[in-house]
Amino acid sequence: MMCFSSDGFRRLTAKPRLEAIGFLFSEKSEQKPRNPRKIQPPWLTFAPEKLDRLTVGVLLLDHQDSFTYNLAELIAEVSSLPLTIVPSSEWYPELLEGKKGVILSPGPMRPKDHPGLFPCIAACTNRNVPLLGVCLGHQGIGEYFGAKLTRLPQVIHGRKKTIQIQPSSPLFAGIPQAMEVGLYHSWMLEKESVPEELDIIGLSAENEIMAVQHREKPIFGIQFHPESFLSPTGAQLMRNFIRLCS
Amino acid sequence: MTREEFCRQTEEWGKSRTPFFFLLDFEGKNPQAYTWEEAEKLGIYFRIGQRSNFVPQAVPSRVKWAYSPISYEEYQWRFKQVHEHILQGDSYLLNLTFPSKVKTDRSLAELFHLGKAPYQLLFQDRFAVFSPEGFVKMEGEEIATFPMKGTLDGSVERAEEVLLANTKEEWEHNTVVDLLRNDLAMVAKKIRVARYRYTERIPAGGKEIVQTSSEIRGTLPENWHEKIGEILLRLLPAGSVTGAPKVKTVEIIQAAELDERGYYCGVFGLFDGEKVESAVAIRFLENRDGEFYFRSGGGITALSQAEEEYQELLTKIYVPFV
Repeated sequence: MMCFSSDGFRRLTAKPRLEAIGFLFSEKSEQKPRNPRKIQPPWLTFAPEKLDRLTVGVLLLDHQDSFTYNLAELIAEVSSLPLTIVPSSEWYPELLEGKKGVILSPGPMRPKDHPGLFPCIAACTNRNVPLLGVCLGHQGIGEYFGAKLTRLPQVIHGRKKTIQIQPSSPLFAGIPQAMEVGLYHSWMLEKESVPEELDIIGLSAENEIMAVQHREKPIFGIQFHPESFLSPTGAQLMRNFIRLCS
Repeated sequence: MTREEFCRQTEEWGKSRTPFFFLLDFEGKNPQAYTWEEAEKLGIYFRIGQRSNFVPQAVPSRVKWAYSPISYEEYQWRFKQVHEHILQGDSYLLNLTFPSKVKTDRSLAELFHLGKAPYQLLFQDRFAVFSPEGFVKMEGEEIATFPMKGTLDGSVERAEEVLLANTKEEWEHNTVVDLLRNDLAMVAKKIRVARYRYTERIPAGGKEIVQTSSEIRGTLPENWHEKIGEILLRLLPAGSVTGAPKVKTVEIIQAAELDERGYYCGVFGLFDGEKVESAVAIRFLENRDGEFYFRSGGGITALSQAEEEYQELLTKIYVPFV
């Protein structure tokens, strides 16, 4: 079982980079540093109360993904909690201070390729901070508690499927048991390897794991993408998670 | 211009509602902005939707046009690298492009005047663009984008139905819709899919092709006129010619393609003092020291076959005359 003791943390002293992930090439260009008043990340453009945002509300850990701002939109749609988006590579434990919940974004590659992911899951687990992992984030939660990843026989990118969910889970309150969801994944948690600590609360028609929930802690993983336009009840799911945070 | 100069200049023009033309490269290293007078003086001519700064000249429409693309063997080898990344979960969708050497008896300017594409650009004697694909529009308080993904030869019987029923195309299209929703969410709020997978017929070098597009809209901050440069730079590179997730996908593209894209797959457009209209710089003919190269490609997904994708690269090598 993969386990991270507290000394396994990479203690980063750096402050989070308050820049949008949209600037793909900014680091490569040989230009002078940007004028921070001119170019601001979108969540600052729309939120002058930026300093409060870092210390309260919800943390969204971004794994270089291109659906992160869809998640941010979804969170803003259902809650007025301030949102902080931090690149996973710049994770440091103090980011959790005062946070009501953490959401792990989807992302390319596998959980082990994102050094901030496991330390963040460990910190949330230890401090009982509500945690929701989406796609890569869900796989990270699974691996953290000892499940194994396996490659899909055929990758699924951009497909809508109907899955079966466990209606008694607080994450799925008010959502029909046959839930329509959008899927983008190449990997999944291997069913046989899921440890006792995690309950399986969602399955595809092919019997593949679509959602897990920790037995004792407010920790959830979903393989599907609530932020996709292919998931009509995604907002309800996010509302449920935010309710668990507040 | 540097990125900062571009933002500063467009902010100034935006504040005073001065119309300007802009051109951004795929890598976002060399953005440019000019007033209409400056553009004309520099030999930059455009047609963007209803607006243009040139009078089309009559050019005989008999054109010699031959091309030699990348060899299938080389394409296949490079395709395989990219495809493996997709199977590994490093990318869901990746736009792979290559230049083809073109022989023609016409100049860039003559071809430009012959072209009938909705978005055209002639940049001196360096390159000409004949793009069917809009990028973003900003008008009133809204931003809208119209990603185009999925094409079929218009002569196929019931082409629209066939294209809409193709699940591979549908999944690829979905990926682009979610990607562009995300990108608009970086600069706007209240993002919505206003139209999903509508079909259009467009002229393509003597024939018609059917394309599927979607319309995604969002609400801009009130002072957006002053932030046009900033908004454009944040949206780059355009999702429909990149893939998702962007950062990793661009890394894979840069390793697999032969050269930098430069202004190919960049964005060009206009601010007319009130609204912004722009296009993705595809269908791109480039003059490299007297030799012409046409750059084309397509989106690769897990379900793509090298042979079909190579064919798509070839069918996109045309100048739309009719």
